[in-house]
Amino acid sequence: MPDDFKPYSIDDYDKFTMEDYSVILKAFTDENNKRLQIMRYLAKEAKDEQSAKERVEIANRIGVSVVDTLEHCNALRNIGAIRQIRSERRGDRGPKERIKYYLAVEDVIEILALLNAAMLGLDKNAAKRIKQAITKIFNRSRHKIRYGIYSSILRCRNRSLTLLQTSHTVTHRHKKILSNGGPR
Amino acid sequence: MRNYYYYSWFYPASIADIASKAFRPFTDYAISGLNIAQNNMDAYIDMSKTYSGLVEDNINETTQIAQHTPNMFGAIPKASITANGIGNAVSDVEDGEYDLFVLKKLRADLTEILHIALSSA
Repeated sequence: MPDDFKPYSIDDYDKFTMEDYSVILKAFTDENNKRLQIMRYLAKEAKDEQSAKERVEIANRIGVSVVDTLEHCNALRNIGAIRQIRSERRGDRGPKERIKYYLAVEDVIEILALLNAAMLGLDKNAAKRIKQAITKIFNRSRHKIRYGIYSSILRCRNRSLTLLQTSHTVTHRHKKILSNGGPR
Repeated sequence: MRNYYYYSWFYPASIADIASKAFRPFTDYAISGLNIAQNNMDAYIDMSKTYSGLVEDNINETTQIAQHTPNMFGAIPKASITANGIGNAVSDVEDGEYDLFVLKKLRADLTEILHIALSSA
């Protein structure tokens, strides 16, 4: 049974306060970066319900106790970065159901878009556009991994040049403003 | 008369356009493009801060000049509220516990995690 808990959605972007961003930051932050390690592990091996990992497996892999793993996983689940599922036990021994976790890739993309938009003080529509762009980047990247990345690198170089050119234009406008004695 | 923003290209709507344009060129090829786009956004944040500082200085100066005629100017808002984004605001909330560096690092970590998720697909 999947757990679709999603506290930080772009649809509620306008309602977020500074405390919400503080909660997001705190959820990812712990003394030894174990939470990010858990996310990296799940990113590599558990991205969907079928490959979800049990708490014991995560604990063994990350090198923390099962109790600490529960605390870390709950913190990540509370902001929607990972999801929890319950599956029935295999065999007659052990608890009736097992709790497993997997990375909520789409929700992590959403959090990333939220951070990007909020850092720039952008509005909800901009946040949505950033999310769409990031999703597209990752979807295309998936495609490129299958078909090779060499042509992509070439296009990357060309587009970086275009971007640098744009940045140069903006810098030039800044210089012009400053030389005119700053904003009036 | 209230002019909150002096140049149209620094009005929030324009920043939104700049942001989306910065991401758009990277949407159809490689994963490393996201990092480039985000780094470019950081550059915009720095530029915005510089610009906000200039606006703020200008407002302070104007306010000083106009201190004897408050009715003319009224309460002038700070343009830096939008331009600075959450970086400084989070620092204020947490009394210096978080700053823009922490946000940038978290963003880089999340990007790396998504990269791992895709490359192991």
